[in-house]
Amino acid sequence: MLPSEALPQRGLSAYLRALWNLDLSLWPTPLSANDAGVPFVSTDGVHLPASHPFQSDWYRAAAAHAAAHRVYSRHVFDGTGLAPITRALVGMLEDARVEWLACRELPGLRRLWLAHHTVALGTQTDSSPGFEALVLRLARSLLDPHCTDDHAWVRKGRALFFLDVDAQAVALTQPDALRRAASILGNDIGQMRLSFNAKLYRPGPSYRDDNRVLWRAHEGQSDAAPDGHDPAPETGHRRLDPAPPESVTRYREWDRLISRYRADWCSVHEVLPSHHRQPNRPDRPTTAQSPSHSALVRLVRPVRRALQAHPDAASPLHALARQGSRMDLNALVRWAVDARCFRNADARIYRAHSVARPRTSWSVLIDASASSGTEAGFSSLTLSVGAAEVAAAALNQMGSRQDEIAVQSFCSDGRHAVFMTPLKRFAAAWDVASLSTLRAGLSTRLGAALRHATAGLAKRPNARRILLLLSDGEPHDVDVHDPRYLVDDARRAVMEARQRGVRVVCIQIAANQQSSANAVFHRPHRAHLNRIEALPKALRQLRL
Amino acid sequence: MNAALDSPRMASSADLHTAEPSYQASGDECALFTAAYAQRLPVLLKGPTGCGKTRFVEHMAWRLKRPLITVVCNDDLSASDLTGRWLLDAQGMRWQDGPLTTAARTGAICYLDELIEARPDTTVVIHPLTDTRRMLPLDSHSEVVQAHPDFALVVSYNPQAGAKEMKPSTRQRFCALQFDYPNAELESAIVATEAGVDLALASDLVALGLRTRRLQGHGLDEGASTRMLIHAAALMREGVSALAACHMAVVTPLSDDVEISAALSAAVHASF
Repeated sequence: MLPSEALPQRGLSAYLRALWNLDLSLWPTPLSANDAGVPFVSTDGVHLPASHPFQSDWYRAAAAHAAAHRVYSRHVFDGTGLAPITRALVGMLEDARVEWLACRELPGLRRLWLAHHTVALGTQTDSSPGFEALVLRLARSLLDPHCTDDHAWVRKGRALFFLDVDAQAVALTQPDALRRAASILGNDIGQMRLSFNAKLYRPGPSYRDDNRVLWRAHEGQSDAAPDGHDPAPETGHRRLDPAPPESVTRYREWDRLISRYRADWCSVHEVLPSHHRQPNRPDRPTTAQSPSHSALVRLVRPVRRALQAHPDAASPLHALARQGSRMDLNALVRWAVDARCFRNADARIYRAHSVARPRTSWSVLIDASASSGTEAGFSSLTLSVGAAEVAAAALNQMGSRQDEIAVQSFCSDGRHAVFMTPLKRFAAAWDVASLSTLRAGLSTRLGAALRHATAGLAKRPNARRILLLLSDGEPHDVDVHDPRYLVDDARRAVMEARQRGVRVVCIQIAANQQSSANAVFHRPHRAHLNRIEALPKALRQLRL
Repeated sequence: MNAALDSPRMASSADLHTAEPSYQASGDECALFTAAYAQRLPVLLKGPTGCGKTRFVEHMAWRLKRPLITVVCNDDLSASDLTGRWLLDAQGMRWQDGPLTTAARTGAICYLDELIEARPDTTVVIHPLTDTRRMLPLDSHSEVVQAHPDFALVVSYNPQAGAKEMKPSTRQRFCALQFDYPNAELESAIVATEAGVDLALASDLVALGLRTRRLQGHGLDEGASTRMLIHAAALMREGVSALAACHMAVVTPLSDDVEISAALSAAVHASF
């Protein structure tokens, strides 16, 4: 498992935004470091350990503490000439100060943090406690107003920190006062002959960060983490939500021989139009004549009608209703006759509202593999693009803002090189540049392309989602020699899409009737198209 | 006055309020509404859910001493649900005025709550009522109803990301008042009065409400409304603990998303 998957990033971001309106980036701490379990705050955001099986409460405590630093720690301390022990105590007092301020605003945070202060209190005269234990006891007694610790040093720390015995007001509001108090407490530790190991010390309890954010950067040794690793390393950790211009997504694939999915088997590259030309991709321009512009324009209206046809509208079952705005004359006459014959009259005399067509998201997937190129002077790729253009224009002409359409083309060159090029994104215009550079080439790894388009479509808000594949429907790829392998995988991909609420239909472009796509798409989900003029008919044949 | 149509989909009410519906103005909206009513201009109320639009209309109807007919629109509400329809009874056919027709005939204030949710033909039906013609054609009754001089139309609308938008031809007929959640001080006072709790508790709840509104667009469509906060305060008044009341009235209704719910729940825990 990747480390980032353990970090409950989204929930924590929402938590910090709700508490303080902070927009902090959350990062996993570098795994390589010795103290990977220690949170820290940097200019990039908050770094939390990812690989530890911590409870969500621990994460909230750590995130809220780090955010409290962001909100209340305004002063950057200068550590020059400061004894390491004073430095450690300044950090502890500042932790206590920001937590006290945060609790004044959000009293419930005290409960959250106190749950992690597990050090025992009040055992003054036991065998002399070490420095770490004393600091933890002081930290606890500063957070908990009802705490009683008899140790003289802890009592002194509490007296320095608060103005009053009831712990209602903080004395150390100024950085200089805080520093003075830390140095007094540090001297006492020296008087008690307690040892302090600056290399091994880290602030406790575990949810508190290492306080590097409090100190001016580019200082001496103690600014870096104890083992000397870079405070904000550029390598070793990665942004949780990277958005590179060309994104790669991995999808599983069905292996029919073992009857199992192979996880993360195919890599789908979403290629931007400008990067469309892959270096080793054969460039085979289409030579066939495109359907003329006027032929396309003439088609828009019939295609619109075909798309508007919705099977529910014609359903006779719901034709009549008890209430409505338009009366059905036949039903009315029937009612009047029944009433005069003292029969039980059917009061459903209104025409029911026609079922409102649900909002639809369309995703058109164009097969741009080599087989879609020129074939006896005929290019199925140009036919596909023409069909997609007409469909988009028809949806646009319907005038509803509710329907949306995206168009992308795909081709593949082995399982790790499935290329998908967006030609038109949802709610955007056609990408003219990518249209003009679209060429037929490479192979057809249909399953991966279907999964990628399904994933995009499943995110759309509309109730009805249709994935329309325009292809010659022969899945094949260079690294697959079993003719049934990719067909079975594509069938699986269609099934998965259906489970996610996406209807997948295929228009087979200029394919022969015995295409292997028949095994992937069955009758009402598949239609043939040999010339662009037949598009309305093909659309009517499909169950949309 | 018989305004209610025999329709389960519609909540209509027409009554002269006897007691003043409490409303605390956060600006000069009462004066503006009064001026618009004096000129019989149709008014559009914009604002997020639960911020007091409906209460404002009830309050203004009470102040102007006009009956109020409220229609809550849903996506199945058609024009004939507003204007009226023929009904069957033992004697034959009988015309029944819809709530909008009743208001236009009798001079009530007609409040169409969330008009944009209704079917598109309803927005067209109100057009002739909102301009200088002030009339309502009833095609199926072969009648043109001339609006009563006291009739006025008020429409509410919740502009939300991803929701339906109002057509310009409709929105340009209205004067509009923008509503928002009141400022924290006023909102605390409202929560305290409405739920009958003390001001300190009310302001803690309002602070929590503000926190949830920060998540708008970051996992939530809308933050906690004033109405929700009043619900939470009312539960606490019944003796429910603060945490349980906020869970029941705010966290659980706001989101189904597991992570966001957990974050909201943690924010509630941090607040009390």
